[in-house]
Amino acid sequence: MSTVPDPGALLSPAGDGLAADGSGQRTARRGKVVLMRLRRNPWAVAGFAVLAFLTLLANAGPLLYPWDHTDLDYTALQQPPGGTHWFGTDAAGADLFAVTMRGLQKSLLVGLLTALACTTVATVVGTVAGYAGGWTDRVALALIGLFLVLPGFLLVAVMSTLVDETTWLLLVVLLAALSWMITGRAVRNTTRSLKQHDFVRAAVCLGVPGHTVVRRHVVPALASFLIIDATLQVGSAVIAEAGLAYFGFGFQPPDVSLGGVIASGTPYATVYPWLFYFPAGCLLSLCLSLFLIGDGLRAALDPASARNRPGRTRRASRAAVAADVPRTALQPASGAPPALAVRDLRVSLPGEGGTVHAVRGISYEVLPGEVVAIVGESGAGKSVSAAAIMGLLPETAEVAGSVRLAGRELIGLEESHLCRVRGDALSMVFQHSLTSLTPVYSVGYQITEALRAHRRLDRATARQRAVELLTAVGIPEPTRTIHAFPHECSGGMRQRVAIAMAIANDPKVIIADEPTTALDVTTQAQILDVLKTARTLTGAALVIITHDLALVAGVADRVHVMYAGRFVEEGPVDDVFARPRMPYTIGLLGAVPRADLDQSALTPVEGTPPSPLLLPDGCPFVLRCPLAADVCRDGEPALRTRGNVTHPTACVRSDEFEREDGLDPARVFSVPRTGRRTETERRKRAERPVLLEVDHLVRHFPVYRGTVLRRRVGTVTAVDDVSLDVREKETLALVGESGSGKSTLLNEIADPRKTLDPGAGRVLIAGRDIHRITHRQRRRLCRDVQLVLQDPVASLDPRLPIGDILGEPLLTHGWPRDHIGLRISELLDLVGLDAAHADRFPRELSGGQAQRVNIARALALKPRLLLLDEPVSALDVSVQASVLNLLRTLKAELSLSCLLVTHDLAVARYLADRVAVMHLGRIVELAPATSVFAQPSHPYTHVLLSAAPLPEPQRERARQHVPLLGEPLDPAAVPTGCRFRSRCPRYLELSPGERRRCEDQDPDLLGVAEDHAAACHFAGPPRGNA
Amino acid sequence: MVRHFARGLAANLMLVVIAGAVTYVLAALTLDPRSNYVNRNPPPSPAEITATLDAYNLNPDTPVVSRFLRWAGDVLTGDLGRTVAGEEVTEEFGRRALTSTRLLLLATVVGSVGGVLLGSWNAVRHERWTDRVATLLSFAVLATPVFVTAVALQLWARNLNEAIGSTVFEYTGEYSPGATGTWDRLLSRAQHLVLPSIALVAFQAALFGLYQRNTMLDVLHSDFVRTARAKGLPRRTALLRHGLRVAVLPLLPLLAYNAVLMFTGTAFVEKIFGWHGMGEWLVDSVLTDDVNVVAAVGLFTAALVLVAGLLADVLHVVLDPRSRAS
Repeated sequence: MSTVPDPGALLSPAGDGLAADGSGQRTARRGKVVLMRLRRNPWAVAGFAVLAFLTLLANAGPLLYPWDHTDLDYTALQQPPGGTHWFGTDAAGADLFAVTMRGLQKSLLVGLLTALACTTVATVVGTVAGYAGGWTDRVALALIGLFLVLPGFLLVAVMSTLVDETTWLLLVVLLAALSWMITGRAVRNTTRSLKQHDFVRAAVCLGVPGHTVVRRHVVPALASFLIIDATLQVGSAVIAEAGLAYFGFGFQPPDVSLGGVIASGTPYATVYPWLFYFPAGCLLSLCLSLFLIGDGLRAALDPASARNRPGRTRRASRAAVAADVPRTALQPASGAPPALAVRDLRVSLPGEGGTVHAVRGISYEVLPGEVVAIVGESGAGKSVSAAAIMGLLPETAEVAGSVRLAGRELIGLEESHLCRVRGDALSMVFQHSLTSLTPVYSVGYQITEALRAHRRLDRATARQRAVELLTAVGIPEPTRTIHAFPHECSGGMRQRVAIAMAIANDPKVIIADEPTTALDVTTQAQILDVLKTARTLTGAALVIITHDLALVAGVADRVHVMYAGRFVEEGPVDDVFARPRMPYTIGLLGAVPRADLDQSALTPVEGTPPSPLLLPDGCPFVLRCPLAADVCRDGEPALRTRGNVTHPTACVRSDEFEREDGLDPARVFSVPRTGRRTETERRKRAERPVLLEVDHLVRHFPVYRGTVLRRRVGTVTAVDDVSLDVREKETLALVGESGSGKSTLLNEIADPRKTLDPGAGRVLIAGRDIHRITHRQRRRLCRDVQLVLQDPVASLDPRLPIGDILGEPLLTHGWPRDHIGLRISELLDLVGLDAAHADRFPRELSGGQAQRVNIARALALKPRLLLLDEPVSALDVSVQASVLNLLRTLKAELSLSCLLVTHDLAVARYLADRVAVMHLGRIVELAPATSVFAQPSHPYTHVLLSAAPLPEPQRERARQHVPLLGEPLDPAAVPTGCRFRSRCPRYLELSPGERRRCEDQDPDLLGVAEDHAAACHFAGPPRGNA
Repeated sequence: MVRHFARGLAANLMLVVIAGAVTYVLAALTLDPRSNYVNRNPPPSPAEITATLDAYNLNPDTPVVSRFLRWAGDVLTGDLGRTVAGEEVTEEFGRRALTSTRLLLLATVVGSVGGVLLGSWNAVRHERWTDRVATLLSFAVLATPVFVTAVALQLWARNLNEAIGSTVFEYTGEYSPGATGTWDRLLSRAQHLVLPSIALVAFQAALFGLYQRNTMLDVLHSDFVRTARAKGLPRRTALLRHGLRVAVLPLLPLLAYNAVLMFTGTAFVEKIFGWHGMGEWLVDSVLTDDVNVVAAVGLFTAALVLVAGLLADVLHVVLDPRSRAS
């Protein structure tokens, strides 16, 4: 309705993290939290009080008050407010208080009913359209479009001539019919995005019918948005109805609503102001109370909303601490002054649960040109320490200690002075390259901005320098790229741009916070090279913050291991990697899967880091440490050199490793027994039956443009003529860069509802074509094929307890209820969780525990084939190790077949029997894992193997990487001939005649040895250096 | 790009046609223009009334389908029919659209820009008392129907005028008929513009202020603002150049729709302050059972939604490079 504000639309529906829990006591607890948050919001409390008062007045008031709204008191015309008539009377002698109460009652009724009808329609249309998609969705969208185009106010006004005392509900219908669209569209959009959510995908994969998915997973996720929206809709409807009534549309005398009361009072307003002000005040308080309640509800229900964002409470205290803090860190080797000296840096962040001491006293120095790595699990305080050095923490953070940049103290420095340091002498590269660049400015603009923030440069010079910088970080065609926007660049290119910005002003120190996380292994290697180049070019000191030990082995000079806000071990990288003496470091190093070795088991560091709110007494690692002794619980051990240990550790027992009869680092953690190959597995491959067969599968995605009239503008080649098979009791790993089509291939098998084009191949499971089966057979298929997704927490419905989550597949497939409980405990036990976990909610679990639940759910129906989509890539290395061990054990114990998608070759080597390397929709190499890792044939496989970093500093430094040229290709523009040749290192070594073959002929996947195929005209072991 | 817009336009034009037809049919079925003539002095004979109604295509006794076909045929030739008083709807249309433009142009610009700035300022000063007060006031303004604001403004202006002893604030019409000479006319127009503009600006600023506050809070702690600060930009520059620039994007459709739909959305302000614009026409046409005018306004409103959608699309493409990709 054009004339009516729509505060309901003020809210953007959040897809996840919203409230409304599923079951009994949990709901009660959740309700308490919401109530508590609401109580802390004075405006919401006031809103509730006013609304309650007005509701009471409207409904109970007329019973107690002597006058009725139809009564006329001829003895008192136009009385001012007073004793008999509280609000006075109008020209006809009607009691204004009684009339206002009646109007209030009607307004409230209309508002409530309208909001209810409107929310119901919006929910039904929105969820159905969003979930069904396709034509249903288009029709619903057209319907929403049409209702939006209809002149709402005009139509209600026209139709309201039909409203009389008996048909006032028509008014509600009209108001609702013309105001549901915006909510409906929001619900539709949220449903659509929820449909892509892992927990909904997981439910679909379990064979849960669509209407149940909507009822159980989608509507509860929308509940808090709908509650808030409905509250605000009540207010909007009241105002809309009042506006109509003001012009005389709607309720006809003697019945009134507030709008009518105000309208009849307006002509007398100059002489008898109460006739106007009383009803208007009533209307205002009613709507304001509703809006305030809506706003309060949003803050209480939606944890991500504004009220709970880090706000400012008071000015931060930044105290520079005198530099006489005892030096615990080791001295730099040479006498040169450090580029960056951090002493006893401490950071506390006030939060809802209390003050978080994120960084608890760290000290380190970096010399010019030196590379220092800070490694640790998420939550260790690495990034916070970096932000503290940059002075980029929220103002509520308390920072203490000393940070000296080339001798100049930064802590306590005025913001205006700090601005001149940031981006100039001290610069930073952030993790998320997409979100870290402003989406609306070109790459060139953002680089020149960095230059011009510190230097007086004219436009042309700045642009010239930007092109130089882009060239320096290895961006091809810099003069063209300079006009590109961040979304047009690949992840690797964006990170190069970020590095270009960081080195723009020849910094003395560059801090790189997880610079390669979430990048492909090939890109990761390239970015590390660029960082090394950047350091050489500028002579800057480099601080690399990462969770990935293998990454820093070849790059860093020194390494600091961080745990629970402190350094627990530090030293030269060779020394720490070769002789780790803190159990945590030992565990981390043992947990790293290797692409260059066959490992029988990884050493997992069990448990999770302590909550920064609740640190244990003594050593913070004590709860996870296999060596924990009583002495570890008395006081936190300092970081210092102990006994014969060659570098500082924060472990009182570290010198025991150096004694003759002391501890053996290799035996600190008990290495679990993971299943080795059983007899059946060793049985010849050809003798085992085929479980999954993919036969010349093709999946192209059309690229559309336009909303209402869509047209096809191109095709993305996601999977292009792929054939493979998985036999019983074996695991096939699909490896490759992002965009290689490996996940698409997995999804084709996991969700066969999408039909294939004719001639686009087949997928057979146990000999049955999954695209040509009945609905009933498809549900049966769900029992045989199960899926584990990448993000463990997102794959679990946040509103359901673990027990219900594990029970869902059993319930769906008709298990008897009394067996379900037993099976749930069995499953929890199988994946190494307690029975008590059944009552927990997903958010109460750590990432590793959540992934165990996902695995348990996938195993609930005793499947034969398990599809694993990057099952450990979202986990910290220590947790990753335990989940990998679990998968390996289960695979052997349950005789599972697995199809594993991973970008990490080391994970593939650890879990898989066979490996398929994918590039741009094709399999380029397919062989048993041992052959692929020992005798890789395709140049792409060489590149991938060469790019995977080794956690051994000396070997990693000595290794020569096979260069991968350029960026991953666009799957929408596949070249003719061999599609890898533009990036191929071998292509460069070929003669022109040989090259022609690559240019003209698309190589087939042909055998190069027994059970080993590669799609390369010149397949073979690496030539030259590698 | 142009073709992309052209296609969208064609599809949405269909919606406008449907909306116009729906409005006409509903109005033709429910409104009875006969009452306009019955009470005339001297009362015309029933035959005369019927003849007039037939001439204007307003006779409720004619089947609605044939009335609609005649109306639609006329609309296609650019003729929107006649009012009950016998005037050309098209002529009146132009006059009123101009009046509304004079009222709305300034108020919409000030209200939109003011709202965006207010919201951003509040977001940056998040949780301080100025933010709390401004947010509460914004909700209060939104909770007050525009007609209450307008009437209250009139009452206060009248009291102020009396207190001052001269007519500083004007609250009826566009200008005083007595004003002569260019400067007097301009002054008079300005005086008449103040109060309705305040009502319109307050509403828009409150609405957009709340929206902008939300979107701005979302970007306040975003990675790219942090990057901008890491480059060495002062906080204020980073927030304005990077934060606000991105935070305003989600508001573009709202701003576009508001700017365009205000034409018929000012019914209350126009009616109360006596401006003879589109909004007033909308209300009056229903009150006088003037079917052709109702249909014309309905068609106009639907077309405005279309224009607003286009405007939003264009703004989006101009300001957000991400939308330029496929």
